[in-house]
Amino acid sequence: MPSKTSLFNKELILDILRSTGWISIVYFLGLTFALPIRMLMMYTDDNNMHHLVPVRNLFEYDYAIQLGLLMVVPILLAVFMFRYLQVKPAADFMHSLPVRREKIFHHYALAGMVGLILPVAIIAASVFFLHGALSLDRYFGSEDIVYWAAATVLLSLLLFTAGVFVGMMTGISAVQAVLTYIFLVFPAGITLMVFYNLKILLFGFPSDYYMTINLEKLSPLTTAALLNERILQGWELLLFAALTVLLYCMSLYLYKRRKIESSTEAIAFPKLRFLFKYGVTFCTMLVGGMYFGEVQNNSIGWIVFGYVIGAILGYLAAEMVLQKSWRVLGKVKGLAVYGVAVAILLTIVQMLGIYENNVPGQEEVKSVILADTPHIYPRPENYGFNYSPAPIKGEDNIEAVRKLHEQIVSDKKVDQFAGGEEPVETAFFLYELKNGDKVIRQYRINRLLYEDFYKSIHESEEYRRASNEIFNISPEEVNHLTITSNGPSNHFVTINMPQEIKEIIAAIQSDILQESYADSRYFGYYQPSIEVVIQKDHFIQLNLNPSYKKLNKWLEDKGLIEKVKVMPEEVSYVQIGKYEKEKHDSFEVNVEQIAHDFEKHADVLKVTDKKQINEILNTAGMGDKHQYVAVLHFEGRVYPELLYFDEEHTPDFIKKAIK
Amino acid sequence: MIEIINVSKTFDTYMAVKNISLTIQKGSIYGLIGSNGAGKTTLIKLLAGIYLQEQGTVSIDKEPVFENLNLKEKVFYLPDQPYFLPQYTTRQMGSFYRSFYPNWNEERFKQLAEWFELDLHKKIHSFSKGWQRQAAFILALSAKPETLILDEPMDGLDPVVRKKVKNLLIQDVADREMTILISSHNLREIEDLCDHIGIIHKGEILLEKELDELKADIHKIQVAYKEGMPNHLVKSLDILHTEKRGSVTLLIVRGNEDGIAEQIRKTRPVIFDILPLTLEEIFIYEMGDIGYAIKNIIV
Repeated sequence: MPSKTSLFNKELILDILRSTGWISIVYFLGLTFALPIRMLMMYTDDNNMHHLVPVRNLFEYDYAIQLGLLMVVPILLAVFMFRYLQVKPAADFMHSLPVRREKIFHHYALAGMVGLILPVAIIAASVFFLHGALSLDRYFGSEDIVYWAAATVLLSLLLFTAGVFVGMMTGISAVQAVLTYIFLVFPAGITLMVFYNLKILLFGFPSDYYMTINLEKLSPLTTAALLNERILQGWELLLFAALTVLLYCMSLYLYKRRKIESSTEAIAFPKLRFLFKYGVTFCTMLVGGMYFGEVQNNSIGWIVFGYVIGAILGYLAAEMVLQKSWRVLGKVKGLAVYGVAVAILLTIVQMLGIYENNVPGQEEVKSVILADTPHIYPRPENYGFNYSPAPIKGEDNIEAVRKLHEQIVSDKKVDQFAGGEEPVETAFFLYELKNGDKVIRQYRINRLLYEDFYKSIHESEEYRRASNEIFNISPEEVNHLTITSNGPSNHFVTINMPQEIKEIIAAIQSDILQESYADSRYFGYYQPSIEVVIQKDHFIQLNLNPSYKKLNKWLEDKGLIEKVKVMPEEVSYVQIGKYEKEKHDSFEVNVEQIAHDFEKHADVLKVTDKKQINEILNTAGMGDKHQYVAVLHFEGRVYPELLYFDEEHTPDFIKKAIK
Repeated sequence: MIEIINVSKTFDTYMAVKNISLTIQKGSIYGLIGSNGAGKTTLIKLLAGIYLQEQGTVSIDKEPVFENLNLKEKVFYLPDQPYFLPQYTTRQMGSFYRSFYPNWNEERFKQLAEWFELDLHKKIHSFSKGWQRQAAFILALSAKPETLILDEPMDGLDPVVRKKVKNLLIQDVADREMTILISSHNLREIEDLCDHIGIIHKGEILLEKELDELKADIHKIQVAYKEGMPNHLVKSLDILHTEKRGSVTLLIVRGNEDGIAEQIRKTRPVIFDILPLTLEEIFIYEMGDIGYAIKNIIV
């Protein structure tokens, strides 16, 4: 009799159905409660119906149930489906039959997929029915049903094939389940940990710049957790489908190469055991360093402690899984080797300093961006419009930026906090080299230490034009412009006239080019704010500093200055005292307390003269170097305001009065 | 014909089968004897296409077994612990096997069930160990394989059933030249069934013999002389073992029975008998020192 070769073996499917059919039934019942029954409960209750609003997507119905099912069912199914592979007698039995491995695999894997698709398809059909029967168009459309079904199916298939893929590499069902979840969060987790730890290890590593990628998109599990909030893009769904196909093919490849005797082994492929052991050790080491770094405020001692503890625990845990015994304390030779290897590697990296000392040479650099934040690229989906500074190309400026960079690098050992009166700021460098490479660095620095460097860069016209968005818009784009005072009355003017907008923008541009670096650092806070609105979520924010001579003059000429600035008449009196770091400079300064203390002090100047008050209003600021403190008391307001003077800006009458 | 040539199989660092070669002719019943952990099961699983050897070839009728669909349709493997799909009845298992083995004979399946008085519609897992094994035999024989691989098949069967099963096996071998590989840790259990015996120890085949030839080739002889045994006789015979009980000498001699008898008669012994030798005795003498070391597996 010729052997009948059919692609499809009914008996095998029957066996699969008998052993795992219950999972699909549970899935179906769960979804029934979450969607059709929930909808019936909501939309047939006449008393409640008029409160109900349209939903963003169908994931909003009992999302907790939906998410729970989505996170658990596909992986549970993958574990139960390939249970036969992890139990020795079953594995022997199945592979003694006259059937090729790929055929067995296709039967089980595809049956699992059908078992995930079918419940969703039936639910989608019943929701379609309800949608028509109850006229639910007010709440969601039929395209929402299609999106829900597609997203649910594609995500669950991805989770399922991930479970199958992991199942091919392990011989224990429990390990398969645990490793599947780890595998699914791995891309997000390892990215986070590597960036975080490189920040600790490498001086200047721009982790925040890299971290601007969306971590939650890197794992299907976190993506699933946000399904009710975020509509997935078409390409994301396609990516899920592509990854599912890829995992399916890789699983098949592994299945064909897997040895049947590896059931009950934690890791089925001997070569992977090595990778598993040291992979786990490495990851837990990073977690340990990150945890203790975070909890103990980046203290080096604790970070090292975290690395050591993390590596030891991870190594032992991996060994326990591999040996299937918790008595593994005698087998630490590998850990010692690992420790030595890591130590040598770290020493080499630290000693050579290839990364840390790499400041590109003058002739290599094509352009550079110097910014005080690593978030220089627009991410409209998160924060609205964000201006990206233009790269600087002038040779002198590149030279100046490189000098600054070199100085920061050579100051690696300098404590940037010591003697600094200002919290540390970020210096962000992004070089584009002539050969197309990029060199990106980020440092936390005390600007005061680098004032000369910054001054020469900031005061160059090129830098000013590159770093201020106001130079990169045309007045015609501007919708309107608002200038708001910062006083107790909060008055403002709005300017709509194209001609006036044009004049103001020209004035601002000229003022920015004229302003000294010191003034631009000193003023700002407490000065009136200018908002140049281009469109709804795109606007430029500036301060009307006293140093903006042209704009101030323009406002005076138009008679608007009183509407946008705090006028002396609004201030009842000002107390001025000598600056004391401990009392007057902390994140929790209590201005009322300072005012109260000043009442009792003899060397405190109380200013009530309106002319002097006006001078104070035009000279006080924040800056980095404080000499005097001014407490402003307003008419009709209880809360006083705190401002500072530096040596350069302090009016003479104050200097004379307070020695 | 089953041919295993220079096959080795390693689990991690442990070599379970070391460079084994053996041949089993079509229609023969080959007994594989070995103690626990000797490598019997590993060798059997290699032959059943479950494991893949690292070295050497495992073939049936000149074709490699591993992932060879057409070949495996004619090979049935019965493990030492019979495996059935969970919650299945013998009837359902029958349908399952029928979908894989094209030679499956439904009539024979029913006949055998009747003959063993086995309830086809009862779940196999509720059966006792002995009944489960009978169910496994029914299923195996209904698949009408050309090669049947049995791993410790007689465990848990009572003597009556054992006899029944043996008769069935011999009948299939006689009727349609089925080849059987049967393993056991006990020679006595299968000596009446096999025509060939191989002894496996620590992953190596120590000895491979045809039983009839073996029995014809080795003899236990009892002699007594008035003036002691003549020296030239000791030199001319291929004596494996000598034992003295009073004036009677017990010899285990290899060689042609008639030739030995003739030589001894020439020396005019007072007593001369050729005694029957049990199979285990043959093995022990045949294998010399190793024979004593592994005595427990062949007795």
